[in-house]
Amino acid sequence: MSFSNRAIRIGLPIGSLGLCAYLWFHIASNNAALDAVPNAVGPGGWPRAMLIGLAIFSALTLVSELIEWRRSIRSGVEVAIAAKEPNGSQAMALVGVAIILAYGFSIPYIGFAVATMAFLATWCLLGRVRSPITVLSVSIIGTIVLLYMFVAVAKMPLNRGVEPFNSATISLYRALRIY
Amino acid sequence: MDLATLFLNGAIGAFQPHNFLILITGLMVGTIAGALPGISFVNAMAMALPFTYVMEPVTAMCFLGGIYVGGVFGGSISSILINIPGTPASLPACWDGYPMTTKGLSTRALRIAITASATGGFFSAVMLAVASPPFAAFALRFDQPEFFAATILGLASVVAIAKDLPVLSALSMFMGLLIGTIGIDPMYGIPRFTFGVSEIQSGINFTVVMIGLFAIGEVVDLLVRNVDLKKKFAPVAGKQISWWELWGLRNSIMRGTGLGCMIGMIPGAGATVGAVLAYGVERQASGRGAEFGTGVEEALAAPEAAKNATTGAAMIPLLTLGIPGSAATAIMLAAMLIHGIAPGPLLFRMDPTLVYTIFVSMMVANLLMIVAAVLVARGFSTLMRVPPAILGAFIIVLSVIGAYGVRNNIFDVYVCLVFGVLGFIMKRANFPSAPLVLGVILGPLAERYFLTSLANYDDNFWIFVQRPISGTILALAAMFVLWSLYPVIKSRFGKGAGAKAPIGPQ
Repeated sequence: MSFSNRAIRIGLPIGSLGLCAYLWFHIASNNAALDAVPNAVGPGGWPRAMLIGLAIFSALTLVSELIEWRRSIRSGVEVAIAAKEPNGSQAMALVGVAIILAYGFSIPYIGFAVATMAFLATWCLLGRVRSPITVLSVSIIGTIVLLYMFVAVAKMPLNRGVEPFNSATISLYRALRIY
Repeated sequence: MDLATLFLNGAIGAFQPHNFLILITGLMVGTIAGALPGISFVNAMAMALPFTYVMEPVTAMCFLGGIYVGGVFGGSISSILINIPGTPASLPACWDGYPMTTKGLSTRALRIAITASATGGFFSAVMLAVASPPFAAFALRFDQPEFFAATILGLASVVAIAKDLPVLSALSMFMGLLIGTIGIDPMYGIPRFTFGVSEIQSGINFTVVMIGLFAIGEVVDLLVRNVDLKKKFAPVAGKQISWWELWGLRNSIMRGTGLGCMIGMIPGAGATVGAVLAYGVERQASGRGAEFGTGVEEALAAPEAAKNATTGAAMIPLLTLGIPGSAATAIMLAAMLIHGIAPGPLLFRMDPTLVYTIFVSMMVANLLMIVAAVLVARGFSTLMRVPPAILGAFIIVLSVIGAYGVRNNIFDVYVCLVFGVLGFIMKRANFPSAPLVLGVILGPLAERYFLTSLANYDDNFWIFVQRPISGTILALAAMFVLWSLYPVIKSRFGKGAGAKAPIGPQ
C-alpha cells in the first residue's frame, strides 16, 4: 500500500474517533431536550448508538491498520512502495477536485449555463483534449443540449445566477426559445 | 370471470396500439434514465408523472410501468461498462460486471445481465398476476417490528458485500448510519446534527450521497488514470455468450429470482436490498465465493435477476393494499389516485380489466426490455469511443443536475460535491464506500421502525424477537452475518491463518 493510502487508512479512523467525541455532545442544539422525552430511547438514543458503533469500529480499524503498517515496514514493503509513489497523479487529482468544487459552488453566482460551459471547456483541457474546435463544440453544443433537455423538456428551474449573469442566461434562453 | 378470461382481457388492453407504443416509450426512457449516472429511473418517473395527466389510466400505468422495469435494469448498463451504478440496486453489477468489461467481456456481461434481469422480472410479473392475494395477506401481517427486522437484514448484508475486512466495512456502514440521523428526528421533531443549517433539517438525501460517492469520485479517478476508454472497454470478438452457457447460469438466476420476489414484497426493502442479498447468498451458494469481485458470471446473474424480480413483487402490496413499498411505486400510486383509481382489494372486484392489463403489461415489459436494453447498451457503447475527459465532464454535469433535481435545491449539489471528494479519497485508499451508501439508505428506515415499534409495544425491547416473523427475520440476519464471516474466521484462525481472505468484490 502506498504511503498516501496508508495515511488515509490511518487518518480516517483517527478523524472519525475525534468526530464521535465532538458529536456526542452536539447531537442537538439543546442536548437537554433529547433526554426530556418520556421514552426508553428518545430522539438521542439512535444517534448515540450509531456514534458508539462508529467509535468502536474506528478504534478497531485503527488498531488493525497500525498492526499491518508495522508488519509491512518490518518486511520493507512499505518503504519500497513509498519510494516509487508518483507525485503527478496526486496533483492532477487535486486540480480535478478543485475544478469540480469550483463548478458546483459557482453555479448560484454565475448560473448553470455559464458555469457548465466554462467547466466543460476546462475539464476537456485538463483531460488533454487540445483541439480548440473539439473543446469549443463540446462546451457550447453540450450546454445547449443540456439546457434543452432540462430547462425546456424537464422544466427544471436551473439556477441563473446573479446579475449580470442572470440577464445573460435569460438572453441565452430567449435565443434558444426556451424562455 | 375466470382467470383465463381475465388474462385475455388484460392482454387485449396491453396490446392496444397506443398502450403498447407508450409501454415501449416508457421502457426506452427508463432504460436510458437508469443507464445515465446521476439520473435515476425514479427521477424519470417523477418527471414523467405530469405527462400521464393527459393519458387514460391504463396507458398511464403502462408508461410508468415501462419506465420502472426499464429503469431498474438500465442502471446495470453503466455499472457494467463504466463502473458507475445508475441506481443503488446496480451496485452488485459493478463488482463483477465491470471486472468482466476490463477483461474485454463487456458484451458477454451485458447479455448475462439482460437475460437474468428479463427472466427475474418476467417470473416476478407472473407471480404478481397469479399470487397477489395470498402474498398481500402475508405482507398484511407485517407490523413495525417486522419492518425493522427487514431493514436489519439489509444492513447485515453489508458484511457479505464487504470489499475488505468486515471491520472496515462496518466502519463505513456506521458512517452512513450516522449520516442518516442528520435532520429532524422522525418521532419528536428535534433537529439533530444540523448546527443551525436549515437546509439539512430535512436530512441528507441518499441519492445525492450516492451520486457524489460513485459518480464524481469515479470521474476524478478516471482523469488521474487517464485511461483510453476505447481500448479499455472495446469488447473482444469471439467472447460472446451462447444460449447453452446462459442455460448453465440457470441456478444462479433462479436463486436470484426467488430471493428478489420475496424481498420485493417487503415494503421498504426493494431492489437494492434484493440485489445485495442475492449477491451475498450467491457468494455462498455458488461455491466460488473467493473469486467474487473478479468477474464471476454467477455473481452478476443472481443480483441482476433479483433486482428485476423485485419490480413485480413490489406491485403486490401497492395493488392489493394500496401500500407503496418504494419511491417508484409511490409515484405509481400517485398516478392511480390522479386518475381516480383507489388501489386495494376492491380494485380486483371493481376493475379487474385494469388490474390484469397492468399484470400483462408488466410481463410484456420484461420481455421487451431485452430489446430496449440491447438498443440502449449499443448506444451506450458508443460513449466509450468518446475521450474520457469529455465523457467525465458530462458525467459530472449530469451528476450535478441529478443532485440538484432531487429537491431543486443547490445545497444538495454542495452535499454531492463533498461526498464526491470523500468518494475519491475512499477509492484511493481502497476503503469500501458501498456500505456507507447502504447505511444512509437503510438507517433512517431502521430508526423509524425501531422507534415506532417501541412506541406501539410499551417500550418492550424484546418485541423484535418475541414476534415470530420479526424474530425469524432477525435470526436470518444473524445467520447471514455468521455465514458470511465464516470464510474470514476460517482464514484467520484456521490452517491458513495470517493471510487476508477477501470476502467480497475486489
